[in-house]
Amino acid sequence: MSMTTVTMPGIKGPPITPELENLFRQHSQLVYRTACVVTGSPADAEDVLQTIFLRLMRRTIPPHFYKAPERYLYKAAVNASLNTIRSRQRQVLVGDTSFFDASQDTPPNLNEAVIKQLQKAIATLSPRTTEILILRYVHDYTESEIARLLGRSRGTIAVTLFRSRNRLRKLLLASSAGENR
Amino acid sequence: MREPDIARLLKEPLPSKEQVELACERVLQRLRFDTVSEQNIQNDDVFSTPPGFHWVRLVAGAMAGILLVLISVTVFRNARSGTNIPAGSIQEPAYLSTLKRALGLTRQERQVPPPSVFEVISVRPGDPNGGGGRGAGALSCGGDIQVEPHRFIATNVTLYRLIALTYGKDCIFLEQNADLLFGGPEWIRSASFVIQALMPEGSPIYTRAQLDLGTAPQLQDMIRNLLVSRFKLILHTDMKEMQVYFLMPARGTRKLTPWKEGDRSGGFVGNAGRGDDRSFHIIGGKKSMADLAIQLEDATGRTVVDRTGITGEFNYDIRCAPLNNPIGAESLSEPSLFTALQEQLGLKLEASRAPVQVLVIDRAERPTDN
Repeated sequence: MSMTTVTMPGIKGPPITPELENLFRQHSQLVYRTACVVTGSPADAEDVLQTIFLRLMRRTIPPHFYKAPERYLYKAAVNASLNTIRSRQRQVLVGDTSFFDASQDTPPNLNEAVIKQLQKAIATLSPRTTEILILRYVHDYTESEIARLLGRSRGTIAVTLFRSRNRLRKLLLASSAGENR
Repeated sequence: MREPDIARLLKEPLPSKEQVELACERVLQRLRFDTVSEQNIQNDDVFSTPPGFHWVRLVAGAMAGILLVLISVTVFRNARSGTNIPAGSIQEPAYLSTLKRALGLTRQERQVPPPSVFEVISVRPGDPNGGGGRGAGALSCGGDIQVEPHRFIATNVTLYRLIALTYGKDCIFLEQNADLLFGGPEWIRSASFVIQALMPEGSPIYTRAQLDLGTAPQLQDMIRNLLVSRFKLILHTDMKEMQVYFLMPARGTRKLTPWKEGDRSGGFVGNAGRGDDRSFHIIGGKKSMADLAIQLEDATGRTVVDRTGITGEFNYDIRCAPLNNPIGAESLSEPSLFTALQEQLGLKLEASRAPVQVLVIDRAERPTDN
């Protein structure tokens, strides 16, 4: 039997196509802003934006992507941002982050504290609810526009928004009560 | 909580429009940079003049003229001043130093690339009850890796996983093929560590995906240097005869679809669908047979050698039964990977033995205190 020498191969990514660059120009701000709100960190938001487009560059893009790229990219932004938050929470549980996080030394003001609580509360919502909530309150989409973008009925969007507002209120009350105790 | 309150609180930490635009532009530049380095390798015709860009020649000519005048003036001045040249020494011609200055090649002006070492490193023992994390497989591949701009964080990871990371290899694939990375003390597969490190200013910004794929060279170098300095790691490469699969043409007609301009590129290996519709896919666009062999390595967990002798780039979508299907491939409607490869592409996998390049760990020490 003949012997063959095998070298462990490296992996290279495909280039960004003009088509993808065009999509980046159209939707990058929506993705970045969404990630900024969910993660609460511009650095994480940049990472989310870069990761989403890197994935698109390195994978075969599914045919349905081009039917509604905005929907796909927006959902990807929410999911990737929630993943980043969960990964960060795991990190806090197992290790000491004060090594790099100087901002923890100074107590945040009241508004910052509420924003942080709100971000934490959003992280506990389902990705579908988060998608709707951010489109409504950050990107100022109307209920009809959200329904069109996400491919759902206007009624579903209205009900989800109503429930998520209630849920956020309860979560914020619970967390502030927990802190006062 | 009222609607305007939510909107106000959510919008408050948002950066300004200019900052958002700047951030997006930065990301696009990084994506392009990632591309340029690869295109330079693939595109041989980098020196050809693009049609319609004659003004480039004009500007180049003007710059060459200015440079010539500069050199002439310097040479003329030096000649008039009559500089004494010490006996036995060789003075650098004036035009050469001017040229060097103009090109930024003098010792003072040359830009030194940042060294491939972390600026700050913290290594601590990991939580014995920790582990887990995304992508955690066996114990030696557990933990969590985070790559942030200018920051690398590894939580409860073993030295084994870090070595796999520096060589751009999938830890679980190496674990399944224990012969590809072996040697060293037993603790490198069991003892976990928490590593936090800061990259120096000016280092390229990478993502976790790039590190996993082995396309973050400077960060990989930094981690490698960290392992050498803190874990006193020494390893070497060797050749070892191992069980491999040869990817070969099967009997009958070849069913590969050549890639053509306008087709998509990229790849995917994994399960798709739910329940009975669940199937395993190996999808490729603009992929060579060597690329297919790498995808098959991920799917089979064994080194695959391309012996098809087929050149060119192809599109394919191999659909087969899920590989970890507990009830066996036959009970589902999809064929096994081996059958699907033969039926759908006209290729086959043949089990054999061949010498493969492996990594051998010679020495590793538990890290010292910070």
